[in-house]
Amino acid sequence: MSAAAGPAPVKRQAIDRARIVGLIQSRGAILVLILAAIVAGSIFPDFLHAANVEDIVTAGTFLGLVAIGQTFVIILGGFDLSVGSMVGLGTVIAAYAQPFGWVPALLLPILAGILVGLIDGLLIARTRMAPFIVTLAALLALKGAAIALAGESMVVARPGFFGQIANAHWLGVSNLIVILVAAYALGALVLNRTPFGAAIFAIGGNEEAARMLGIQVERVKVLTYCVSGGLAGLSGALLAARLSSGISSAGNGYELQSIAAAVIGGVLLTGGVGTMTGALAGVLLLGLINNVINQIGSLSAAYQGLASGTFLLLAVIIQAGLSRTKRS
Amino acid sequence: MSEHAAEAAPSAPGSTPRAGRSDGAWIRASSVYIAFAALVILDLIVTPGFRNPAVIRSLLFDSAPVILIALGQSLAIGTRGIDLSVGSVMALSSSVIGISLSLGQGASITFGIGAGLACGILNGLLIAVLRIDPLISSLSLLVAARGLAQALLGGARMDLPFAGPIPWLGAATISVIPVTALIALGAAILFAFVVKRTAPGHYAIYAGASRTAAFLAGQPVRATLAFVYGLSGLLAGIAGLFATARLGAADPNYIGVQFELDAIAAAVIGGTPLSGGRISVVGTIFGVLLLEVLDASFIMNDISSTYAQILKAAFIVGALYLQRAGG
Repeated sequence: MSAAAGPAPVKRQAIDRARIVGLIQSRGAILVLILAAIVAGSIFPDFLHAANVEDIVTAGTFLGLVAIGQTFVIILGGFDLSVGSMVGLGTVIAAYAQPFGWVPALLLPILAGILVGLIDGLLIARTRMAPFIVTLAALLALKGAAIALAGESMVVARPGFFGQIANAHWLGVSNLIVILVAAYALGALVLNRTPFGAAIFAIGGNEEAARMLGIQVERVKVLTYCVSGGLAGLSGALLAARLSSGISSAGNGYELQSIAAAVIGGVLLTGGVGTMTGALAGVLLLGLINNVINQIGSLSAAYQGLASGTFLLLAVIIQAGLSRTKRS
Repeated sequence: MSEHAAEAAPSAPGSTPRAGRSDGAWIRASSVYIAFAALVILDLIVTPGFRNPAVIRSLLFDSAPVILIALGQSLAIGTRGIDLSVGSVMALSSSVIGISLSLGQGASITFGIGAGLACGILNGLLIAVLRIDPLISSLSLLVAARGLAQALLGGARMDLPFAGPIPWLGAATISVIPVTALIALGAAILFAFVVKRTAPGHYAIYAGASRTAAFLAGQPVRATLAFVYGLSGLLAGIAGLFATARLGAADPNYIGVQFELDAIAAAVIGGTPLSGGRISVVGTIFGVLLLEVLDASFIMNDISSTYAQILKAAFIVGALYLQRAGG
């Protein structure tokens, strides 16, 4: 008995440490976001004004929607590099569809995104090609399609109600913020409270084990890429409504920024670990950095890439360290 | 991916393909040459002015930097890794050349290439020491190096002087062949020698065939990985110099954008499988030439180059599909 009692406290200590490391991993970004907001607020008096905060969040909506899908795909153990081009194509499709009413203008980009996700997902799940190569090919193809359809840009004719969707306010809050919050709440619900979400975590954690548990791995993979594509399409539709134009280069770089946001938010690129709130914190942190750089008049926009790249690099290094601490 | 580890292990470099698979292997190994020959013949018949030496010269000027980064890429892929940072590292090298011009062009060339090497070594250390997945570390560097390149020049393009060694590199030719293309060819020969005939090259391929076996055999896997990514960064630094010289300006927003895609595509189309353990140097070079001729054919026939992008995407998927079917 005494021999059995010996190792027990050591084990508990290890579990405690693992739990703390896990908390830093999943909640660290929120802490950094709050700290950064306090620091920025104390240096720049205008920073915490309601109008400025609303600016940050509304501007973050388009990337935020894409980041939800990206987070799903990364937790699944994959990548979706096609989302940026899909946003651009989405704006163009919305611009083409608007003359037929706001319903097709909103829905057709989403449907196109789901179709792209279906093709990506089938290629990845069935032929077992590397996700990042398949979605890279989709990135090229979708960008080509957007330019072929619209050239550089085209105007959304008589936006009317379609424009209202992205520009009006609801109970004093910008519609875009309402949409963003609703989408993240829904995303968290799907990820944490449904069999689909559980299957995504299981596949990302260990695909073979998930298969042995009877999870329909292929179906879940295809569905996840459809979610990512559909959200990118929605983001494109809203962007077209916001800007009243379809721009083939819109969403350029969103594929990397959404991955960066997810990683900064504690979503592990090795799959199987991640939270929706973390990803949202990542998106807002990137938006905050851009906003602060704009507030410092002397710093040009050229520093935005450096700042988000440095954050991404630090996040990746810290997470590698944390993961090892957890394992040892 | 797991089934590949088991599959790749027995087919060490130099071993002959197993019986019954030789057909698939033959198609896989020679598809890039067939596609290249077919495209060139088609161009000779269809495309007006394709025989013009100026076209060949411009093609080779464009190919030289891509060949360099594709070589580094093929070795990274040979170790079962990837280097997504090469395009951004080219931009960083270009920016560093721009800001250090006042020290003289020789010094700025050294600093530019040195910046590429430093980036590659950082990438290698992240992968070898911190054991971060190459996809992830090089993705972070893709974002960070481009950001640094833009910040160094304040996001603006900087024109180079008209005289000196850098502009010379951008224009010098021996008959129709650009000097940069000859340097790239020399680098490729040296690279092939390192990969096929020296210990670090062998270690890299073995590490790709089976990391565990290489480790158990006492090979310096980590040092090898650091070497591979350092080399890729060095080659990207030189590629940045070539692109800058050709453009006549240091431009952090333009140089190397999406070049990592071309480098990966060329390596994969050229017969270097993403599952690692094998590398085709000549195939990679022809992969680059194929992509460049493809671009040129679309432009010369006045077809929007966006369709060339779509076709490129189809080529990548097709090449990967062939690898799956054959291997």
